[in-house]
Amino acid sequence: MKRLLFILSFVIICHVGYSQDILVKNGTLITITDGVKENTDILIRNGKISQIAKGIKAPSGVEVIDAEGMYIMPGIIDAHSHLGIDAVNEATDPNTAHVWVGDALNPYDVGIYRALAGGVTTSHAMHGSANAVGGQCETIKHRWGVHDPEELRMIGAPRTIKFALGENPMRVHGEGRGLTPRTRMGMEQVFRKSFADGQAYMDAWNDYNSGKVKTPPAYDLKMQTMADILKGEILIHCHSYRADEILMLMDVLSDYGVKNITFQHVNEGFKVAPELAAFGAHASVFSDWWAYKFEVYYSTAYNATILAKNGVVTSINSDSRELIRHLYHEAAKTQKYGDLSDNEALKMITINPAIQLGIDKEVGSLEKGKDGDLAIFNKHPLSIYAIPQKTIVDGHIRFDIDNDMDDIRLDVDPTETIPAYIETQSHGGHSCGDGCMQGVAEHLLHKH
Amino acid sequence: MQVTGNYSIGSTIDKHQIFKNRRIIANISLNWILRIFTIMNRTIRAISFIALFCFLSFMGNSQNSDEPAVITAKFVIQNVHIIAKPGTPASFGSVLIEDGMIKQVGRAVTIPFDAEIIDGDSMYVYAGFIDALSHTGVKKSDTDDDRPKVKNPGYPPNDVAGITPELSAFDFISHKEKSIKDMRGQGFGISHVVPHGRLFPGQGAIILLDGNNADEMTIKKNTSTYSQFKGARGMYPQTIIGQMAKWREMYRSASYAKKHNSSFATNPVGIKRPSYDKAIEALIPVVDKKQKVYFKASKAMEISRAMALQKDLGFSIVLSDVKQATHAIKSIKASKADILLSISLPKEEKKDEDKKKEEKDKVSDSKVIEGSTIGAPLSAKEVEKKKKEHKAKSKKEKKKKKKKDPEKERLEARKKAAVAEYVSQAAMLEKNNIPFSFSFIDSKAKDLHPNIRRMIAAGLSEKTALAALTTEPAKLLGISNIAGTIEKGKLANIVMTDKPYFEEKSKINYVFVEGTPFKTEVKKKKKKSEDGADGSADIVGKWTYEMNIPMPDNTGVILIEKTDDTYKVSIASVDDLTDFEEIEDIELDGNNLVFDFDVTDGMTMNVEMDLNFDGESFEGTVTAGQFGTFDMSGSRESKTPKF
Amino acid sequence: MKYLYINIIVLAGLLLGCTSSIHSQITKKASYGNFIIKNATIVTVTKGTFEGSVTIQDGIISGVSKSGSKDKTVMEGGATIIDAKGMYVYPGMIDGGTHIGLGEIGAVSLTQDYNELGDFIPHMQALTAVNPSSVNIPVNRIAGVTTALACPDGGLFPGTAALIHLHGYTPEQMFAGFKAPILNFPASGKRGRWDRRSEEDVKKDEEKANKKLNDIWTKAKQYTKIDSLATAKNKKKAGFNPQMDALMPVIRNEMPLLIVVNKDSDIKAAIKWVETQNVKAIFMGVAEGWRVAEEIAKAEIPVIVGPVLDNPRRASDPYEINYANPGILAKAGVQVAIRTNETENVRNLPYNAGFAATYGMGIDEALKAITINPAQIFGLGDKLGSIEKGKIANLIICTGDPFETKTDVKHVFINGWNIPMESRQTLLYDEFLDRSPGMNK
Repeated sequence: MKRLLFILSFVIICHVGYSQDILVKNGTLITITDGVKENTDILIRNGKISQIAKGIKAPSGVEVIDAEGMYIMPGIIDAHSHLGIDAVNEATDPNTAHVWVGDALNPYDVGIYRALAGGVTTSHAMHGSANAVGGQCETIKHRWGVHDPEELRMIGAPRTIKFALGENPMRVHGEGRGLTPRTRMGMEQVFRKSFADGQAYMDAWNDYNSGKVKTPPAYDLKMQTMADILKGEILIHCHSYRADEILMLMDVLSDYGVKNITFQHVNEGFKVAPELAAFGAHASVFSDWWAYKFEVYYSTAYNATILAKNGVVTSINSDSRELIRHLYHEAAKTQKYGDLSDNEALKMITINPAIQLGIDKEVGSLEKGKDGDLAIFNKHPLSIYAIPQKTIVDGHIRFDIDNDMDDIRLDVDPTETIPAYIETQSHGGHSCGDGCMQGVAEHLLHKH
Repeated sequence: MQVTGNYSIGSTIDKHQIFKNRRIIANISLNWILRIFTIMNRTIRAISFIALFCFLSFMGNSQNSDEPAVITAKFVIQNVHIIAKPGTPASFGSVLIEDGMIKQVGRAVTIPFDAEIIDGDSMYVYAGFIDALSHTGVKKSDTDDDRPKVKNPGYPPNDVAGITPELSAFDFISHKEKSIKDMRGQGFGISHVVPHGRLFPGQGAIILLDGNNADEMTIKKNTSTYSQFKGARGMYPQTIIGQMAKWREMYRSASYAKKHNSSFATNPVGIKRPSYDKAIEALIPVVDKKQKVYFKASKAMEISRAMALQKDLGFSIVLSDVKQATHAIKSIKASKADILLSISLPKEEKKDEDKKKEEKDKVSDSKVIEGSTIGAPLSAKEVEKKKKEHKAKSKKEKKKKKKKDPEKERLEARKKAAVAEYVSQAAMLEKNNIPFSFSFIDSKAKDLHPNIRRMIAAGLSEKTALAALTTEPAKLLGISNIAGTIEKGKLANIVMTDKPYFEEKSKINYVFVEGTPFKTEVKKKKKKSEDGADGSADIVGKWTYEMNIPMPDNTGVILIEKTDDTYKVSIASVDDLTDFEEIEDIELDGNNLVFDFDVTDGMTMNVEMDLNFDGESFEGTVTAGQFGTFDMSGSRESKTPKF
Repeated sequence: MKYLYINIIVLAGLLLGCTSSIHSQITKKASYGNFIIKNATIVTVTKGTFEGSVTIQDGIISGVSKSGSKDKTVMEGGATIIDAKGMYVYPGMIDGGTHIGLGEIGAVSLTQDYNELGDFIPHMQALTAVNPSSVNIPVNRIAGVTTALACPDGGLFPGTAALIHLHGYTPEQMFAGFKAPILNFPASGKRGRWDRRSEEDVKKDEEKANKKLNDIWTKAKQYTKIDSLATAKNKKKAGFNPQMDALMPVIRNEMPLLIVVNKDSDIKAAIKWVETQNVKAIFMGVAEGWRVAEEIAKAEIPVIVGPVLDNPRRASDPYEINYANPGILAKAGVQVAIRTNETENVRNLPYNAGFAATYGMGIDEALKAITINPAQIFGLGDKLGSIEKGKIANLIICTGDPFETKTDVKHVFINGWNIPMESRQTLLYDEFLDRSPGMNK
């Protein structure tokens, strides 16, 4: 009997993710790019939004959700997270451009489901910030229920790479190992050398491939990645805090003709907002984190507002297994710190992060032809009283509050009956700051 | 049953008498040890322990010096049920073994005059089992447990970082390793063995589980490349992402090196001489698909990552030591990857768990009594009163506890289902027509029989199970023409059992390895009246032990206490009888007590003892980390475990 | 080595110098005196919600009256009048557990004053180390948190916590009248995802801690007994033992013990311990309280739950269980307060309460959990936590529901002081929203 119950519960999971065609009727659509449409229907076919209109008749075989009184917004996007990956930092060198967290995807991370339960459908699974040039990142869709890590990838999303400035790489390599960089001066030179080497590598291969040189250069995945950045094939997402280091990196990038960059965290971005805007750099910030280390002491929760008002494409990110569960609330804080309008606030967790990840043609707003990613709330998502009801990814209902099982694990450890109790560390002064330092050998970290 | 041969399965036959000089070697080594000892700080017991075993690994095997000489190399197994290969019905007949090969099989076997005859009436013979992947007989390399320091952890030398595809298991084979005896005892005649190590430990060898040195044992060497997701310590490639990058980099470098080499060989003019890199060079056979990569991929994510590398780079893969493939079956089938299942399975839920739980509750309750008396001292009356109150309370609580906890029930059901999923994976592969063999990287030889029976109970057919032990690994390893079935002309690797192998009480009587018979020791079972009600031996007391090592400090004391169902062992060496190593929660299996502990001093060494008790004495072995396995014995001084 | 040490001292000096040179976090002074808040919707928490006015005199709420009532507000010596039409008056929010004032910059250890060396140091006084000039304080109080429990942390008995008002120039000025030692109850769970201890090791550590706890308690009881006898016999007490002195009021039930405990089985063990030792206890953290809510209610132990915005502790737990935890406890009959366990972001207290409200606690109960409940738990129910005549004038005036992020807090009163609504974060906003010069020099 128990066994039967168990099987049934899995049938439910499978059912949750079954259909790719859905009609959501009578809701208030927050389209982000085309205003708020009350009492409107949205039809998803084959995983894509196929129609937004009033009174759409359900095609046969399409599941209908009555969303009267509900608010429907595009699936929330987190431009900075470490969910769904088994490794965050390969903290062995100031430049680890050759590693890629897309190699460590793990669809069994229950954090993915918990993020879905907060309306988040897409996240940017990032390498950590131990190294100046960190590893490559992966944009994932929260297709909870799949077992194959390949199915987490957002196919077509551009390649991205993590850079990091300031204290973290300085602490790991400079203080920890006596290797440059130990200062922000050294930091600049690490980048300059990495780009110069990448340029030389690219040139050497061009010479070989064009027959100019007969000897093939030694294969080097790290330099290959640097070359790909120079070619503009990889978007940079740079962990940064202080105004001076942000200006430094923009200078270096200018010298090498690299344009695509989103500064992550960027707590002092507000100080150089005009420069960021002029460069075309984006900013992805915390709603209110500060003071967890010296380089974020001179922060202000008004950062997002100042950046946005200065014309910088700005998003609010989580960098946390906890915050990602309520990014709608984090975005809402921009209304406390700067009185942003509802749409300005919601852009920070939808279309803006989509732009930063290069996926704004696919996701980030409710538009015909875009992915069928929806977050359905019972109240306006910027209200503290809003509860996500259903989260739809590519037309699949991946989270449904009415079908939410208490234990949603997909991978059960056959050696433990009651899953281990683990004290969380998301509060009480974010020990080493951001989630970015996961996996860095403890002996390298200075206990705070 | 009538048996004329008399070889112990534990002892190899000294065909070539190469240990004539054993005594001399022993004396030299002893002197060495004593000299070192005078220099060493003797108070550090752990170090002396390690040093001792270091030197011992040079020593000869002293246990079979009194073996009788070999009389004949011809054997006839008479009147047995022969299961020539998986899926064929047993046929009754005899098997003639000559010069290590199967000479004749069938009803009409001519018996040579000089053959030893083994009457196998009502017994069963199978082709000797083939272990598709393990570390059987392979020593750990010396550096593996160290944590070497490198100046620049981003660019460590390959060999320091565990990138050693050029190493060969052949060079690490020791015929004295206990694992050989263990595997042979379970019916194996051939193992495909690979080195220990990290990401790229090295290349495999196919060996016979008998012989006096690697040369004698080896059938083929450098047959495969072994890889596992095990990072370097404190240096690149450390994490899984580093390992994946390093894999790609190594493979692609090998592809380019191959190209470079060949264009240089064709016409070197104007081409820089290719620099030699042993690690990259060693991977060229992988690029050429001359070697398959045996990729240890136990858990679901490891399977997908290994397959991702394979898809990306295109080498031939054997997914190895697989434990959790249920959700990858489709992609495994599509990729046509070979697959080796780990023989280890998660433990089945114990039925008497509820009983244990109650006991636990009792323990925590008694803790409270203790707590209550801790405060202000209570009078005897008060204590009585408290106890009564407590009893009443705990009765109430017990009643309450009998109420079902839906959360716990749910979690228990999920765990049970998870265990079932692991156990039924072999049957699932069979259902999907995916052939597989078994590997023993993370498991013990003795797990084979009970676990394969669990797999069969979960739907695996006996035919496929037997194939996974014989014909499938033979095919995969390219030795079908010499092993895997009982056929004329093949290697005389044969397992003989008293009942059909897959029956619960089936016991292996003989294992032939290339014609050499090994008889299993029948452990004497003590009468129940003398021992515990469950048939387990009475082992409580103070014992002295002696290890079969030429050291002054080779003796010591073992105290064994019984606590409920388990035992607690305290052990100390004679050189410091104040420093007891304590090991708890040990289970006694009949008269067999196995336990291990770590000795730490700078580096950590695991010491495992496997002791068989017989009345007032015991015999057994001690395995000291990578340094080898040695005999030990002991006797009881008193029945009170006090020093 | 010595030079290194000196260097560190110098560095620390520089850092601290840095901090103190910008310690004026506000450009205006707080003002004191008589205030009349008119035409506001007053959410008293204890006596209903109505339109009316509140008067403040000598740091005390001197009057609360409904609109149209006959009570005339008369203030001798005049008063500052605040017309709060369309706005709301709430009691100042109380955070039941923080490190505020004790920590400045997370990763700079020399700015962290809540974790002293030692496992048994209940005599360490949080109040001693509260830095009235911490940048954190103005940042958080203008969000409406007027009072917070500043807690030491670390070992088994990490010190004595103190309730402080988030305004004042000396710790004594800030002290809000409640102190109690903290006990980190022996934990049987893993300390974090990085905790690699085996289950056995965890158990061993727990047992060790339990034994230590019971040893300490036995001694503390004996010590107290001796102390009582000494007093009764008018004799001198032996020796200097500040640790035991700090526990004496708890042994005598004159002071509660703050017990930090989170895991279900630990909570049960803590309840038994409290009953056995007859301790007046307050539980803190209580992350898995939802699983043992009835037991806590039965034991009548009040709890300070939080953070609410936190992940479940086990992979098999329901995703929303930490949001729902305070509500489940409250429904079971437990007296619930909420804490953030924060240092620099105590300002998120209303949002922790807001999530609790949304996920089952309800707005009224959640509001109580950050106002009257903590006040009562700390034995200050007659002084704090509601808008009532005679209570300390800790109140806020805001544009709406303080749980909503759209709501702006317009005025904050602490101890009757009208606090300037600025902090370094608002000053930076003012300076940089429209930076001059902009791009050009």
